[in-house]
Amino acid sequence: MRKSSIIKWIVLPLVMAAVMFGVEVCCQLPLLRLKAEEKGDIVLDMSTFQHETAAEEEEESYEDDAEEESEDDTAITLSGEGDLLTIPYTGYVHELTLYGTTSSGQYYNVTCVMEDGSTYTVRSAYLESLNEDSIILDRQVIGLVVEFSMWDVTLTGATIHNGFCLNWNRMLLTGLSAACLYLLIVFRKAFGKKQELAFLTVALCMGLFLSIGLPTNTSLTFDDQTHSSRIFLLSTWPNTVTTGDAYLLDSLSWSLNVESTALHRLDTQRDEAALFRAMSTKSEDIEDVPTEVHWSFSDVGYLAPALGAKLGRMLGLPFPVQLILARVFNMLFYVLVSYAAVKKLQRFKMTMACVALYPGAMYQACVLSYDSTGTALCFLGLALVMDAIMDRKTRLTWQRALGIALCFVLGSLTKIVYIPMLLLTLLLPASKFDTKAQKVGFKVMMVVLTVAVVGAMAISVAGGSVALQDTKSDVADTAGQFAFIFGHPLTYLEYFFTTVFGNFQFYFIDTVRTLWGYAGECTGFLSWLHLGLAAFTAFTDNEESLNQQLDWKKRLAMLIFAGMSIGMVFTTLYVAFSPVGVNDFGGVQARYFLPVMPLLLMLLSPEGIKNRMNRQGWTLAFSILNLMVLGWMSYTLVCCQYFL
Amino acid sequence: MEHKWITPARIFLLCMTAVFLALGVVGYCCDRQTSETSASLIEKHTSGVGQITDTAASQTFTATENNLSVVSVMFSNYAKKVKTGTLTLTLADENGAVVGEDTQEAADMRNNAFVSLTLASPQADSKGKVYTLSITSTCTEGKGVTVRMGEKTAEDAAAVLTLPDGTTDTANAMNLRLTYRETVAGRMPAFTCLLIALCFACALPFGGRKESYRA
Repeated sequence: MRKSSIIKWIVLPLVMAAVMFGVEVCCQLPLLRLKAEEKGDIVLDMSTFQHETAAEEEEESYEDDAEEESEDDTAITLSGEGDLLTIPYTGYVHELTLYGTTSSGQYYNVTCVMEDGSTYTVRSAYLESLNEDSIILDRQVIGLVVEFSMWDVTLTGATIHNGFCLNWNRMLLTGLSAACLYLLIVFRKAFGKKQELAFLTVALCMGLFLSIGLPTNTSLTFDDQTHSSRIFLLSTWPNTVTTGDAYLLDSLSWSLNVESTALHRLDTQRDEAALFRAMSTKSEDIEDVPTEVHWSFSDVGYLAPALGAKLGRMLGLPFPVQLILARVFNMLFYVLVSYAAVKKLQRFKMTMACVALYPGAMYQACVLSYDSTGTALCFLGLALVMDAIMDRKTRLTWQRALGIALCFVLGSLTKIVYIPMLLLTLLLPASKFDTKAQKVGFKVMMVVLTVAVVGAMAISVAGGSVALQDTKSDVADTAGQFAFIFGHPLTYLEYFFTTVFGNFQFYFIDTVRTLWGYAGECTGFLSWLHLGLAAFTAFTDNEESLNQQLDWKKRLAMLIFAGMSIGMVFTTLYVAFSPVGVNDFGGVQARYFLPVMPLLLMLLSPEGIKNRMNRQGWTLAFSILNLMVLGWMSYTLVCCQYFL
Repeated sequence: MEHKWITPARIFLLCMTAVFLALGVVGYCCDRQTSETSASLIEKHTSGVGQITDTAASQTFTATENNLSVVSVMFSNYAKKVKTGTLTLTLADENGAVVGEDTQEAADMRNNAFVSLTLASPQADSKGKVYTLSITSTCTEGKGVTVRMGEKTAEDAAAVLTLPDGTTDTANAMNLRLTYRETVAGRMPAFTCLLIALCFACALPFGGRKESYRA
């Protein structure tokens, strides 16, 4: 390694440390400027709290009874909906922690009354199983008003936290973002030549933040409770058990649904620490339950995270760290396989990098889910086959033939709907083969393989090994729906095309890029900026010197195969989720189309439009813009929502 | 070397194909799992069938699946838990042949819990066949014991309830739970390995090339 490169790597941690601590000091300046008596933890005197009941006369006797039952004299029992608790405190409040017991499913509002008479209200889900909850206010107040959503609340204490405390989550984000930006700039020449390295840098930095920095619970994305249960079960193989930790994670970390909005349980660092404590103490009382495990097709997608969880357990690490390791391994699999996909492509390198860096795809890779494994394998399969289709100079090697087949077959085992993309091998030109017989033989084998995958799934469904009907739908009737489709094929096609074209923007342009499960979605300027970047990348990803072109026949065939996958997504969900014969495809989510997105962008990429920008500058701009989008989403949807 | 059929790449591909085929067979034989479905004749019980004595109360029913393995009925001890006597469940097929019988101590049973008769060998071709569950008891303590019944909701024309006093009832049925258990071979591990083996086999024709080269 050259001396200048060594210096660049030595400077990296210094840059990271400077940015991390610099940002932290700037963000916590209001706390550092507080008077000495306002700093630190302030335990509030509950005897000064004023309790206003919503219906004083009717509820008075009940309330008295309840107060008599309380063990603690200072405890305050809120016994009616609409009861208000006024906390007469004047000064700065960074974070407020309430201690006490409630019934399940409670949330509460804290209204800050400011000096000028204005108010500011924040809502939080109460961690009833932990008997405490914290909420960030960051306001100079002359009083606080607390209101719980229901009754049966007994508050036993309240503390204001105004101490300077390093926010490790924000530090992780700023440190990794700074590292990424630094590497992109100092190695811009190398990244200009090898664009896949730029992709790897951005994906690893942001992937590490998301997989480590997201809260260590579930309810972060769709069905992640189911995925986490399976991952932790597989991680105990060969003596498979449901551990107390896995059981608690499932039972403690669900979100509240308030007015159609997910209210996350862990919305502060202190809440997360409380969950850590509760899990470590409670899990000791829960015995591991031996649980039978049988191999399922979708387990392909669970292997990487299960390996991470197993490693954590073997090293004796606490359960939250095991969970983080599971997410890190999931992310690493996605990023490394996607890196291979970007590397293998000659044309459409940046298109593939762009889709693989879609915030929606990155998020799926950094939570507990099998989707990202299937997506990454499909990306690699697409890269191998598309490159082989466009490149007429080289012959097909056994490694590439094997890679294409394995990627699509394994990728489709997580979700069968992607197997039609294996048929892209039918577009391989004759120049890839030695003889006509070899060409025909290979293509016939690919068709046989496609049919075999579909057949294997069909037999498993028929034999009851795989449930086609979604367990979350209580209105679906699989047999009835099949009968409807085969009985009224034209009506079904009308429903299908009406839905696809009517919701095209939702499925293929907006949500597929920017939805982060239950954490939220990126909208507004940043979303438009990202859309512009994706469109520009796809439309200009064309280098004449490569002489890799797609004629209209190939584009039409690509559209048909992509359409088959899309059609299978809709049909599967129609059968599994929707009531018989309705004009509604319940359960179809945009994330299902991620593996098809590179193909759609490739077939839309025109030959005539070329990117004449300096390759090094374009790679740098592309990477920084992606970093900006991912970084800002991480800050607003993760740091601000869960950890400030 | 290049024109020879046997190359290191092909040997590798053949070995991997064979390994995954073998793994598929192992998976098929070893990863056996039991699938279980259950059915009942009523949705909600409303009363008991009356005190059960050595005169049997019985319920006929049609099995809706193959592999009928367990027949359970909801037990009740009237107002007070009994300490003496037994409860005997007997299942007979449509020819009257006894396919399963079990006697349990009434003192071990909980009120409103299911008492199960597990068949020694599941009825492989039970689907569509009519069975009769007969229940007798030696318990004479207090009001004795009974089993729960309610309005029949399942579409089963053959379902007839015979009360201990000998009267028959087709509108009501015992609170039965019929369990069908099937042990199936590990299809999914076998298919997974078979598909991977096929992938290796597909690459075999290209194993003669050392590397990709420009034409």
